[in-house]
Amino acid sequence: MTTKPVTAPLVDVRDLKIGIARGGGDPLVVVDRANFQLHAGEMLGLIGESGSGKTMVCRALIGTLARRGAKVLDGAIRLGALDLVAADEAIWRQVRGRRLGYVPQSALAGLNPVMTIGDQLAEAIAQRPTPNRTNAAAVARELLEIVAIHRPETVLQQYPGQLSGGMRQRIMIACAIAPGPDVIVADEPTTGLDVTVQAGIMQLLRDIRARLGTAIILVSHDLALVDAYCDHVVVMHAGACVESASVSRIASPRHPYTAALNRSRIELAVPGSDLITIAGAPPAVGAWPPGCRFAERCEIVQSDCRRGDHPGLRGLNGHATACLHPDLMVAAE
Amino acid sequence: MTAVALEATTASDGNTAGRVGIRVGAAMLGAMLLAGLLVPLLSEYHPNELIAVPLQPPSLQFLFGTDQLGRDVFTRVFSAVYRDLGVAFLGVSIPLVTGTAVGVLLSVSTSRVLVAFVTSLIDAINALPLLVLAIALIALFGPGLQSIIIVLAMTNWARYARIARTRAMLVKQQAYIEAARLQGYPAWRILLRHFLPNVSSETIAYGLSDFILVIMLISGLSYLTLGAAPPTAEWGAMMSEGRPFVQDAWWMTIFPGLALCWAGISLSFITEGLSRRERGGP
Repeated sequence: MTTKPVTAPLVDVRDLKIGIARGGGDPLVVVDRANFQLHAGEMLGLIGESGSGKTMVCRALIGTLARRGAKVLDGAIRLGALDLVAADEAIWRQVRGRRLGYVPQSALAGLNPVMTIGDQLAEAIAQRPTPNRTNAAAVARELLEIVAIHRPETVLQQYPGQLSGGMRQRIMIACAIAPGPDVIVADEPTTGLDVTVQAGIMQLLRDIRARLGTAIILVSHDLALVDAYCDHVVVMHAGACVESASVSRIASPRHPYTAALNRSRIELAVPGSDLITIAGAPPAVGAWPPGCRFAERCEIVQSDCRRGDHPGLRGLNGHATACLHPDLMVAAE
Repeated sequence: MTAVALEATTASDGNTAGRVGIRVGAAMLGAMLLAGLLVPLLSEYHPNELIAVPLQPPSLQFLFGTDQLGRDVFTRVFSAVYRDLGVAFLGVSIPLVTGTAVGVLLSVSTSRVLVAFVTSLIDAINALPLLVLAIALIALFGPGLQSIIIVLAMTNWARYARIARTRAMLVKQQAYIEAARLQGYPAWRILLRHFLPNVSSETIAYGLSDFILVIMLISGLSYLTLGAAPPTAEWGAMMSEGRPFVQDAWWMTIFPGLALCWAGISLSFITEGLSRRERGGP
């Protein structure tokens, strides 16, 4: 177990298990043993490759599982004192946007093409618990200033089609922070943007955290990005959280999957040589082997790794791993 | 109204040719609307009064000549402006509104039976040529401009409904609709402010080009004596009345025909300009 924090976590995900309904039989389990806590003002990176279940966890957090035929089978998600797994649509209406902001992946399509930026921001501002309608224009300008958009007066009159991808993502972030949420879930917010713009968006998220104290969950497949901007990293593999640690500690990983991810970072590649990749492929959803799901690809696999359930997170001093033999790893490095 | 709304969506950086087209079209249409207002007011003749020797060629006194009953063609042509354009406006806007609503409802309806029934009805209506359908229905309601509006309201919605449904199916899946849900906006607001405007932009664009077709239909039906009844001044009806005299009194047919062309050309300048700017925009 991780050490008990002094303050209660803002978001608490415990043993979350998510399944997709199949015609007839049992649901297809896509996530189990997702565990992490987000504290007020923290920036948490949730990383994993395609199929690791990070997007499903993200959907569970924002309450859009049902529309994809998926549902939470077990476990708990708490936002403060609120149980989000049991929440009905009436509760979700109070939570979505207002307490839990969301920055989608598709910045290019996330804004209504026939409404001005000003109108869309005004709509988001009206979601505040105590909307101040007379002052909405000033608040909109202030929001644009926070997301570092120049010439706010002009931009407020413009339509999304007249703005660049980076600017549109900044507007999406402005819309997400407008109601004053405690938490923002950003699902790969820099996908489809070029690298310099990416850096700007990430810097912006960090500024927002510093300025407004908003906690942020960054969902990404990019370890370098998470390393550079987050406080805490949670690594997901094959539907389970395999390692959870602060950014400083994750540099010396205690799970071979994280170590492999670290080694395969593109900026570490030696020019002229092949890129380092992780051998093999993650097990297919629904065909998870018993025991550790990374065992097939693991360099330090032991006989007991392939038995029983997937191991849960264990660890000390805020560095938790699902690996049964993290000490062997240190020896191998 | 619509033109203003669409113009705003493309704002300043549109295609120059498109902007010129819109201005020329708007100027032509504006001139016609102004003339339609002023000519009947200022003219010393009443459009339906027999004031002169019949079949006089154009002169300074009777700019467009006189018809077979000795009415001033000039006054009649311009007193028909608001009648023709007004009927066309209703003939476009009523199906536009109902068709868009039907298309949107179809796209969100969960009742398979209802969807199957209404789409078959739409297909059936769209399968028949509008003019043939219109003539058949007018035989039922009796000739008149009101009948034309009723007939258009009964039939033309199907075209809008098909466009709206196709568009709505697409808009429904757009990320901005999902984003609006995740912002916690209530369903009615998402429907009215995010969904509908993105669907209606498509049907309004069709409506603008449909305007020309509808004007032609109104005049066409009136020419076939199924629309405006004498002595009502209406371009199609006037051309129809001029037909027996076309060899001796060409002005009876030509001037209402020119007015019809003027209206059609000004509208197509506007629609073409708008679509050019849409395409040329960012």
